[in-house]
Amino acid sequence: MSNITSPSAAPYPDEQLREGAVVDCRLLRADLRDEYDYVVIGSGAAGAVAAHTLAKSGASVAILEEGPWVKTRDFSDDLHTSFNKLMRMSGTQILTGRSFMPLLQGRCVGGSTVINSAIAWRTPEDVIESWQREFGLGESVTMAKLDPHFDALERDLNVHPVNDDVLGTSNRLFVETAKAIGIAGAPMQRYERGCKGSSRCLTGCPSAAKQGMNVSYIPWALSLGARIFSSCRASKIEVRNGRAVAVHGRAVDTEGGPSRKVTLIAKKGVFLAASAIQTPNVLRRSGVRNSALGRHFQAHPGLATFAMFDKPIDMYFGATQGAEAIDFRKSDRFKLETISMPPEIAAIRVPGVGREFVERLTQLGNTAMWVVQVRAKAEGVVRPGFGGADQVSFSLLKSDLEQTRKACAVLARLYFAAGAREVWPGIYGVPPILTSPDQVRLIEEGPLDSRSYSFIATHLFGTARMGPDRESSVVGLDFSAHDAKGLYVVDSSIFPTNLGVNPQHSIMAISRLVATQVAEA
Amino acid sequence: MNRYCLRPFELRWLYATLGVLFPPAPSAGLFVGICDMPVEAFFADVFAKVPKVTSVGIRAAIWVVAFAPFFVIGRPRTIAGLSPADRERVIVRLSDSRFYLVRQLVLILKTFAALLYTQAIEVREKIGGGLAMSRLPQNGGPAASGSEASPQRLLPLVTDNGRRSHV
Ligand SMILES: Cc1cc2nc3c(=O)[nH]c(=O)nc-3n(C[C@H](O)[C@H](O)[C@H](O)COP(=O)(O)OP(=O)(O)OC[C@H]3O[C@@H](n4cnc5c(N)ncnc54)[C@H](O)[C@@H]3O)c2cc1C
Ligand code: SF4
Repeated sequence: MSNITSPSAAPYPDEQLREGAVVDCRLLRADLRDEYDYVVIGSGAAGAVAAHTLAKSGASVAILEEGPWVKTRDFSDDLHTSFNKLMRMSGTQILTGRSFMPLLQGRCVGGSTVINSAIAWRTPEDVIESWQREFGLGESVTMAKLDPHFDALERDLNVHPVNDDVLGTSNRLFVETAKAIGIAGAPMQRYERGCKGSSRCLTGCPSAAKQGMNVSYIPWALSLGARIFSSCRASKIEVRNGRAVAVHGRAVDTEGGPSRKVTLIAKKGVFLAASAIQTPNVLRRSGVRNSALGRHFQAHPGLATFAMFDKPIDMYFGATQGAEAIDFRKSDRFKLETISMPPEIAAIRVPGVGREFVERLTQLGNTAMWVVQVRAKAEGVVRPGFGGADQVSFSLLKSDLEQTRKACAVLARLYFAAGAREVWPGIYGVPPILTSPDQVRLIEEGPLDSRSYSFIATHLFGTARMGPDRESSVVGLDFSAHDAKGLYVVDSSIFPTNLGVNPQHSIMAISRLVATQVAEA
Repeated sequence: MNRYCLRPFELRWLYATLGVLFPPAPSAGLFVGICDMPVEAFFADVFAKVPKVTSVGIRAAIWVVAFAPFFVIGRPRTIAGLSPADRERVIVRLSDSRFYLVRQLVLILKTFAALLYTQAIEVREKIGGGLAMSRLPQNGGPAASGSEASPQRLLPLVTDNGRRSHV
């Protein structure tokens, strides 16, 4: 099944890579052993930026990535195919607790940036202050230290507000209506060069417009001499005499063929950037023992609501996520966003069964999908699961559900103010279809039980917290694990808390800060 | 075929369930339902690709729905042995069940079925995704328009009576 009808003549940044820069470990004929200054585990937001920064300093760098490199020309808009190729556990991971919460993570070169919406937000100042004040981070992470890194990232990845020509009806309606009722709705700032508004960020950008790591920092790092080992899972980091000295991995997805061993000696250090879910388990397998390891997991659970209009909304045209409102972040711990999900996912949330459902489905072109992201206070735990999987338990608190309910009510009002004929809150215990603003109170009085809501988790934090002492944290103020010098953890597992804004920018800036400091030391 | 493949009786239950979830709706101009699509091949592919725990979940969902008629409407039949109207009654009650796990099991089936159903070009054209997709730039090239839209990008659609097939 080919999805290339009009291939671009110009090569994409993930094509024409330096000879020998990519080692697809599925094809290895023998075990491999190699030596570098630094070994980076994970090629997502954190790993790619660290690798590029280190390579730019002149160091030799190896990147180990569990997933394959799926090239831009091989992206498919078929969700089933894409999820199988790009996502961890084909997109079927879940957080378990009082309810099940789907957890989406990329597992490919570029990590979750290949499937994300490219929204850029600098870390809010109040969050940094709380890290300094409440978690003892002191001068390790300050706004003044991060700002130059944000500047550089924004230049490199062309961060700018969504262009008007690809805003699309849903995003535009959100911005205009929000402003009309006194909410500061605005187009999002995104990492992109020439977004065509295809609404396909979730299945990989088909035109390499989205500046995911697969078409930016990874190819740039490779052009500076770095090498990537794809389809290779880091099983453990070898720590000798209190210092990280090597990474041991194995080829994966070998389709029944032999799974070769890969050993990468790290002369100067190891950068662990496997994400807030995988990082604590890599550390465990590497012998790190610490009472905070895997604990304090936090998220920004997201919840989608729908509304049907009398006019076409055509949410399949426009930036996948193009508009947002941040007003409620500090006061109420939530953020409002627009989103466009492929029909496969949108269909699941259309109310009704049988003919009535299908009839409603045929009006999907008139529906908009807006979402809430809650800065949940709840904390969960990441542990090793069966067969090398990661197990996450996480249950929302009553106060998180109160904020969710409030956020859904704000969205419902926004929809009606925008002229919606029906609002579909998707909350069990609240009528599936609301037809007038008076009914919004039904959401406000809705259940405070997470099993009534269909959350999804994509923003993940806190499982190898940073802090001054080994009793309450895993990583020290120099960003290396308390018990393993030279083992730098640079993804959001070190964040003491969640943020209330989309995390990629903070992750990249902190990773760049650490890599710069280490390279200059 | 792989070892997690559905047995013929499980497939009958699955068809009966999915037929209720995604039926044809001629009143809305949708003449194909999910049972006109390659359900068996699709689920075989799903079972081959998703983690084992997910295939166990799908199978559990099929079984729970299959035997639900007895508990839900007091009929000692499987879902496949009911009239279409009774099947719908059962599925409606299950989707609205006060038991979270039951609702989740129906949701699992709806989720996977939606992956198949929304891939058919007839469906895409009707639900809007197809129209918008035809305007999209394909992998960096200029936007395809009108007849350039590529039906072959969608899963093959085969029907029992041979009315249509895009293979
Ligand atoms: C659907 C979706 C939409 C999102 N939208 C946005 C957005 O618009 N803006 C935003 O700021 N954030 C967004 N996010 C979140 C953002 O993408 C992540 O926070 C960010 O990518 C995390 O960076 P990371 O480097 O920690 O992890 P990832 O980007 O997930 O990368 C980790 C990489 O490590 C690899 N890995 C894991 N374990 C191993 C191992 N043992 N050996 C080798 N490799 C390993 C993984 O395969 C993966 O490729 C979104 C996330 C998702 C899923
Ligand atoms: S919306 Fe823009 S950035 Fe996202 S996939 Fe489409 S063209 Fe790429």
